[in-house]
Amino acid sequence: MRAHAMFDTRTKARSLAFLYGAAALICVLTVLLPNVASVEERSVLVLAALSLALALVFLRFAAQVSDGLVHLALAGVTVILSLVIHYTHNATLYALIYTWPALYAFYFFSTPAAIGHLAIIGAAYAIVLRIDDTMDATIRLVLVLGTPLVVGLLISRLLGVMRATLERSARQEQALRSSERRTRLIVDSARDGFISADAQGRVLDINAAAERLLGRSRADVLGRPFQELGIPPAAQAKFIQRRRDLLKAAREGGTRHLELRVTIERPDGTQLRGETMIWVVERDGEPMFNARLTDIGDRLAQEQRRERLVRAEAARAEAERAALTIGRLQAVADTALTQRNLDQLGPQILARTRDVLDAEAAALLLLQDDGSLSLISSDPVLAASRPVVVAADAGIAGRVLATRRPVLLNDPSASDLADPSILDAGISSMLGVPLIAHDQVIGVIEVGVRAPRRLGPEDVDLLRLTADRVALAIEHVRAYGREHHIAETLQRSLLPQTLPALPGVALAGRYLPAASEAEVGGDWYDAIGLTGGRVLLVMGDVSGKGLAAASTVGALRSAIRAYALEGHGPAQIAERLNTFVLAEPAREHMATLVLVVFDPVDAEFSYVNAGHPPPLMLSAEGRPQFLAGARSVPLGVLPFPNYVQETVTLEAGGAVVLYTDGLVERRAENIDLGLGRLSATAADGPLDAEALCDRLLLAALPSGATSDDVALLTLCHVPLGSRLALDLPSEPSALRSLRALLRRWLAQAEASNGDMHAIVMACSEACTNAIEHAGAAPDETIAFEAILRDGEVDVVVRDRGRWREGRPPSDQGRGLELIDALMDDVQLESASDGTTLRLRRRLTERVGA
Amino acid sequence: MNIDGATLTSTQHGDHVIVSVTGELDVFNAGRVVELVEAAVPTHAHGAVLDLSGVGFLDSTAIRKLFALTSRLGERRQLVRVVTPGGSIVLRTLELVEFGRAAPMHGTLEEALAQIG
Repeated sequence: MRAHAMFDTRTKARSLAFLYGAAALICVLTVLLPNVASVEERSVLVLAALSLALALVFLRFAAQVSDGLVHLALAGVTVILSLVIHYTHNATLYALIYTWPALYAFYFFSTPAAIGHLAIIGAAYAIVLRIDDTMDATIRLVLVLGTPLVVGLLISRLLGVMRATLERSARQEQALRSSERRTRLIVDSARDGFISADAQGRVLDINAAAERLLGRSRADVLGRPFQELGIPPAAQAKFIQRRRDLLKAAREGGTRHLELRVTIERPDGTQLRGETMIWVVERDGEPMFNARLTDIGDRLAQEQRRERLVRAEAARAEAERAALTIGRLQAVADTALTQRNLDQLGPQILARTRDVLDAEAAALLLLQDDGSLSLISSDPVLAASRPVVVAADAGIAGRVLATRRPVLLNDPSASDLADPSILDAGISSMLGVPLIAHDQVIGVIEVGVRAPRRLGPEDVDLLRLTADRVALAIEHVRAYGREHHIAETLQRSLLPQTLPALPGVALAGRYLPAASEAEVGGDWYDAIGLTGGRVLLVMGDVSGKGLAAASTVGALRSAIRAYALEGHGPAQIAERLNTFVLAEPAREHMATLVLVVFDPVDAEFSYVNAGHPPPLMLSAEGRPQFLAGARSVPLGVLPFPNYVQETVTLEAGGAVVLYTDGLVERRAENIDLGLGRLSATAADGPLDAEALCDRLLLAALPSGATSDDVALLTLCHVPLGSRLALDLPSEPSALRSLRALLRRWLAQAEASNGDMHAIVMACSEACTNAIEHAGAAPDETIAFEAILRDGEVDVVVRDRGRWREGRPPSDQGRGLELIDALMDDVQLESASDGTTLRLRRRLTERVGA
Repeated sequence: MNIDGATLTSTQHGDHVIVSVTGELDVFNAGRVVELVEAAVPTHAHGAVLDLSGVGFLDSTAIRKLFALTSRLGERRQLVRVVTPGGSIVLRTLELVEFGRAAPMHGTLEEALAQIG
């Protein structure tokens, strides 16, 4: 950079104004100071006035002046100075004033331009010296050439040095600036924020990271006091104080830095948790602050995590100590889960209570209905001679009962105790607390320890906690007992009290509840007599246990009976049951079952199997065969399961076994083994319904105790015997079934065709009449009974109706005429509650019979 | 056609109609069965053969309905011949009420058709 370029034209014009001013001053001084007479004072004053006027013009119009005009004006200065020298006639002295324009030229102009002006000065001086011919030519030449040369060279040299210095400093400044830029880049790319502030804390500069950390732009923060950049108002005063302290300490040669934790609230509402290090630096002798701001949110979170871990560790150690006690307490509560009756529960509760309190003795007393306390269980120590029933006002237990509060006795006297003999056992400290369930005192639990130990308040707390669990355990066992009892009662009530006695069919059923500790299950069976001597058999298993399962069994049982009375077959009943079960999703029970309708007349055995173990059929010779057909899904699992029944013929003398899985399933045993055992056992003995049941149960459950409940139903297709009795409903198929049954019965009695025809006809007529008498009630049944006695058949047909008026007498007459014609004896008894017809016919003797 | 335990089929044989009934006829189905037998015999037919070979039982109601059938068809000058195998329970029953007075009885269908000629 060149020095003259550093000056603009305006500066040059102003300097020129001063130059003219100086020329005017010289002129005035020349006139005023004592001088030689040769001075032409008027001319000098005119020059002075001209110079001053030019000075004022340049000062006023400095902005409008061009470079060319500056050069012209400088030449003008040289001219005026030459005229001054001319009019003072003192060329030697005034030659010095030529240094002014020369100086100006070298200062403001480039060197060639300055030399040009030097030439002008030299020429002007030469003219002046020529006019004032007062010295010899040699001196004049030296002055003309020498003065501008010496002055110019000196000044030129001086200015050259100055300019070089200026250029160097410009270069240095440039280097500094680029260095600053590099530093700034480094600082800006730093993760930490850097802030510099003056001694009053006003921000001078911040880097990009600080902008990010503070959430403010650089422009926003420059010049503002640091504390206003997010430090919460409450903390600002303290921050300012600490900054002042730091400044003071730094001045006094003490510490020069400060580390602080700060919370910065950003304008967007978020918070910065930071750490800042502030240090004092000197710049140009003035102290200022530099600060580094670091985001320590992550680090703080980590520290907090670590702290929490440490605390958790400590808590765990504490918890483990507590867990040991709680575990022992829990053991008290758990006894209820393994024991089902109080006699077994008592000793276990006491053993675990002693564990909890580390006591030598313990006793459990329960309040009875009559208000007395009954000793359920105790240690030998506490039971030495203790009565089994304790009066409710005696001893520690009595006091606990009366106050419902713990009673602690140290060194009890004999009068304090219901049983003073425990003093002999060395028990010196006793504690009793009430057992409270549902806000009622149900009993007392006591512990005792031997000297020198004394039971204290913490033992009271611990025994109270224990007592809570003991009370729960007792309640649990009692509730279980109640429920088990109810469920078992309910379930037994759902099993048929008696099985229907039907001609041609012998039935036997068994139900074994699971062993006493387990819950009552959902197994059941049922047998319902249908029209025409048919029988419906049900063998089912509802999933689940207890009261809920038992009540589902009740619902299913009722539904099956209702559907059966409507005359539906097994598959139709199963379909309806499935809909019934699905319609009550709240029960959430699934049921498997086998439904059978057996018609002893044609020996047809129709069955459907909804996910149940297959029925076992035995031929008359005892050949076993599982009925694997007609299988479908359990009830309540599919909306449209499509139950299809299958019909097989059960030969006379054959049998069928229905059962639940409890009979064939054993733990850790393949069910095929159980099924094999079942068929082998069934085949191995007489085909009698009762005997079959006993045999199967004995083989399947040798010990008599079952882990699952078992239901078993056997049906034998038996000879009809000498008595045939059944109830006939008033429906079309009934008479047909009766006739078929009668034919079979008579065939068995070896009646002749004539006898058979006569009796069947007569009975059919009698029952037709009875059905018509029975009146409007469709659910009325006709009681039919036929007895074979001494070669004679006696038939009784009984209805509950009256002889109807509506039927033409001739029809009745024809029926009765027929009966009369067919039977040996006919008696009609009509009463208000019904009509009874008695028929008798002697069977024809058969030759050889 | 099944009517509560009885079935009924009818075939044309020249000017006659053969109606065969199987099953049992009692108070519950006799009325309907006999109505259907009557309906199976068109008015232009010369007569009918009622084959009861497959019937196992007739009660008094059925007998009464059969008597009524023969008299109604008789009013239309149509003769009903009844087929019942010898020794059958139905024959015994019909003999008991002397059904032969109302309609000719035959042991076999061939015998009845031979009589029609």
